[in-house]
Amino acid sequence: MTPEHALEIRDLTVELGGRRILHEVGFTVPRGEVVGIIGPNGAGKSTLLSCVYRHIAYQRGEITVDGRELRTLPRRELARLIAAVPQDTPFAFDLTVEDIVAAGRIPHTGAFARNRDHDRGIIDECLRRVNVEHLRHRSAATLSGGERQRALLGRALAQDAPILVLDEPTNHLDLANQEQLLELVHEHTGTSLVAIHDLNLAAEYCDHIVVLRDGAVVTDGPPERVLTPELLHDVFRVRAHVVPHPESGRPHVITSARRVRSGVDAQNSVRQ
Amino acid sequence: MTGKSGSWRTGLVLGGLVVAGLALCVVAVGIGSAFIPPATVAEILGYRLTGLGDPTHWTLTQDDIVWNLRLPRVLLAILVGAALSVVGVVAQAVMRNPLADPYVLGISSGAALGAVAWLVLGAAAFGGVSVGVAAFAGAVLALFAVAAFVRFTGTFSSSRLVLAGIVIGAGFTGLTNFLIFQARDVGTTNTALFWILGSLSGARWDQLLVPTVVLVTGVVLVMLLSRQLNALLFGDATAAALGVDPNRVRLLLYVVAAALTGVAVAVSGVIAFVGLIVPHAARLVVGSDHRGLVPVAAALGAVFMVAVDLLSRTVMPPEELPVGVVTAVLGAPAFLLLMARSTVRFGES
Repeated sequence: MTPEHALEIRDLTVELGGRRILHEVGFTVPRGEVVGIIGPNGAGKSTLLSCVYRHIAYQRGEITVDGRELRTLPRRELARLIAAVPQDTPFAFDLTVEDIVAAGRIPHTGAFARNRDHDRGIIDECLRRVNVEHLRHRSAATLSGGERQRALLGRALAQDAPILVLDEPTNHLDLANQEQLLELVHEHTGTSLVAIHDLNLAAEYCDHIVVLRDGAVVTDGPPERVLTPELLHDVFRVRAHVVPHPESGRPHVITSARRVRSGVDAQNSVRQ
Repeated sequence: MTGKSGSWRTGLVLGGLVVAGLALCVVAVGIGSAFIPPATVAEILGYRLTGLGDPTHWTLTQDDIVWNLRLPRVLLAILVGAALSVVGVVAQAVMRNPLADPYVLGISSGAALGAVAWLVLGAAAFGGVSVGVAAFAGAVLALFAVAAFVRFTGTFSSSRLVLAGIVIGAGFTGLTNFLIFQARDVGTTNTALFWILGSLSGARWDQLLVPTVVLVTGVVLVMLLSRQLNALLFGDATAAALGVDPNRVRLLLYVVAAALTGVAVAVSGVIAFVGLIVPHAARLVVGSDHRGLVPVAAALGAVFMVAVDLLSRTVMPPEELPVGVVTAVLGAPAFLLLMARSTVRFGES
């Protein structure tokens, strides 16, 4: 029997260079759901995700994937269970879009093996899924931000892993590209764990939201329970209205008008 | 590179390089102070390797020149060219830096210091070991100095490693130059200079075994790590997400690269430029997938080195130019041309 939760994080504590980054973080990621992680800058979102794809070692606590502690799994096997798109991936040399997506097959191929037909099929399919097929021979250095991020998602999808970890995938993207990217994540039938800055995107695309502050979980639950004016004030230090989205009914965050908050005159706020 | 056409292309390029390389070898073995026609060279080699053919078609002197003088030299050129090029590929991928080459970690300066100290101070000062061993010891010393400095004075990073390598290398080069300067003996100075600039003239069968074993093993190891090299191109975080432990792979590759470079320098001196330009040239032809890049760079480096060595001993007869002079004089404009003509960027992201 497989456990109900794809990913279970318990008492996760991380210290880097003598500083405590995460403190007893714990939550579960139900199978097949999109779980968002929100929190101010420096809350520990990236560190938490790095632990999940085993880039950063944790001192205490455990992370179990399908009921198994991930440090007990060989790295290659873990990479077949969890695919990740870290933040700010560098591109050395002239990797083509196809090279990028094909890298997703690394955990599946042996030392001397070329890509077999099976791998090529998956690479082609992933190029199509993230809509970069027409760019396959283009150098990554010539891509726009949206194309680049889609190619990186394509690489993670090519890993063919049931769990997808994304670290702020919508950073630097325009509105249409943000939506397109999260739509692709939503179409992914597996489980997703996504750090996300934009609270409204988080509310719209996540089934479940975990709020981090200063390396600890403040609360977690469905968006409508988590995203309240009180929480936004406590955690993000902004005054905001939360209204139901006119179409989806999901919570929508509208920060208070500048004028009301700071008492600046109306003309100034118009100029902003 | 990853699609069917990519594998085809890599195979085609490799096949072409091997055929061209073999032909070039036969020509290179024939050319020198005494010219031997390629057909005769082919016959001699065929007879030596398979026992087939008619030994009356050539003289014993010709046989001696081909088999004992020139063939070891051509084989050494192949080994050194392939090794330096593969180390260049590794250094550039591991440091994610298009300027990296086999010597960036101070290895060449250390090896040069070892060799020059041996030449100036005499073998006795080194307990009677050969100049190659002294050079290798110097290379290892430099590498350890760089690694220890980076490790114990702060956090590890590629840029700190490169900087420390350049600075420590400069210090070693200063010491080397001091040794040459204070020797005040024209003969010693010339030998030392020749060695610093690189030369394959010392090649003999009995000195080929160790370098062959080390260089072939190293190149095969790097080929086995092609997937890991591919993963490293995306940064440590992505490498980890792809199931590759970046620190372990990097350490392993540093050790392999150091051994390859140390041995190459020990047998041929400091041959500049090959390890920098051949990887880029190979990348332009077959792309950045190391499964194709490593073998193509090895083959291209081997062919290039055979050609350069042939030139170095034929352009100014009876004098022989240091091979490093030829690699730099030919390599620089060739590389600039390549860079200017291609639309490809060199490592910008």
